[in-house]
Amino acid sequence: MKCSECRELIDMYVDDELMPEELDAVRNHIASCEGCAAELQLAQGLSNQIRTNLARFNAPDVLKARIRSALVQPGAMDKVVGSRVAWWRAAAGGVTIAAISSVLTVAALNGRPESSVENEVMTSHVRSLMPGHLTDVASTNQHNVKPWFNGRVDLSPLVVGLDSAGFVLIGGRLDYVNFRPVPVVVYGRRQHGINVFSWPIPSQSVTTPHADRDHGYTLVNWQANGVESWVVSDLNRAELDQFVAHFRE
Amino acid sequence: MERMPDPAFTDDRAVVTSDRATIGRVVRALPPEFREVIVLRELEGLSYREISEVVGVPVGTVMSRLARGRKRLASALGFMRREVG
Repeated sequence: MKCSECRELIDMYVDDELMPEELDAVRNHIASCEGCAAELQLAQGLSNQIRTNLARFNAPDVLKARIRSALVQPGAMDKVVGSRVAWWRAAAGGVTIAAISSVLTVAALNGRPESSVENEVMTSHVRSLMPGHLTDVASTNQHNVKPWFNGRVDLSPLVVGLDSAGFVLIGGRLDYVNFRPVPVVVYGRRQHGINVFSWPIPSQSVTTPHADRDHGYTLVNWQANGVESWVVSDLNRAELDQFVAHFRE
Repeated sequence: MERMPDPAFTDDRAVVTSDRATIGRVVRALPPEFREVIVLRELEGLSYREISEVVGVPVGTVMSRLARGRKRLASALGFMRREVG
């Protein structure tokens, strides 16, 4: 392989896009060519720098605009959402179209007598699925998410790492529920979002998690240690129960 | 982007280290079509084919935008990538 051919393939090498035979050819060449090896090192260095230093950069405006316009023209979404696209983008896309109609339904039902808190929590969950509403602080690290709430709300919420159980921490946001600012910790499982709301309550009452279905969403509610918690998701019931069990551990 | 390479980054062989603010600034300064593919590749970890689906352009265009975007980033950050004939 000539140096010029090798240089052509360096980006693909870094991006893990080479076919096995090309990969071998590049490796063989680099083993004996100092110049191309240095070039590869620079390309990898640049890629690593971007990846680590740009830990969370907002999705490009163009992409956001495209998602937004796709929402206005149902069907256009197929083009926006790829097969293995990050779950939040899927949430911002397919799910959202359904979600908007749910919001309208919820708004129309407004003030269901049994529990306005339940309605508020669910409306907030549905609203969170819209582009740009999911998280105020996006981080997969619990040590970044928890301090973010300091001084913003009167309760430092429970932020636990549940990666090993298959529930990925996405971030946190501030919402307004039950006449107060409330911390929301956001997790993801495949393309499903899980919102965890919590706020302090004056009583020390303890209740076991109670689940309800409403408009295709499951809401789980419990009280413990002077805190009321709500978990909302469109994830199936079995997996959501599993999430609640891990979260409460 | 007309930013001059930082004098601290003049070593053309060592892998240079840039701070978060600098990288954020140079990425933000990229034209949107380059920034888009860089973010999808580096941060979201999408493959060329997936980026092509998300952005709605052919894979070849994804590759050339990535290459051109990286070239601009490299020169702004002082990474000296060299061409060979």
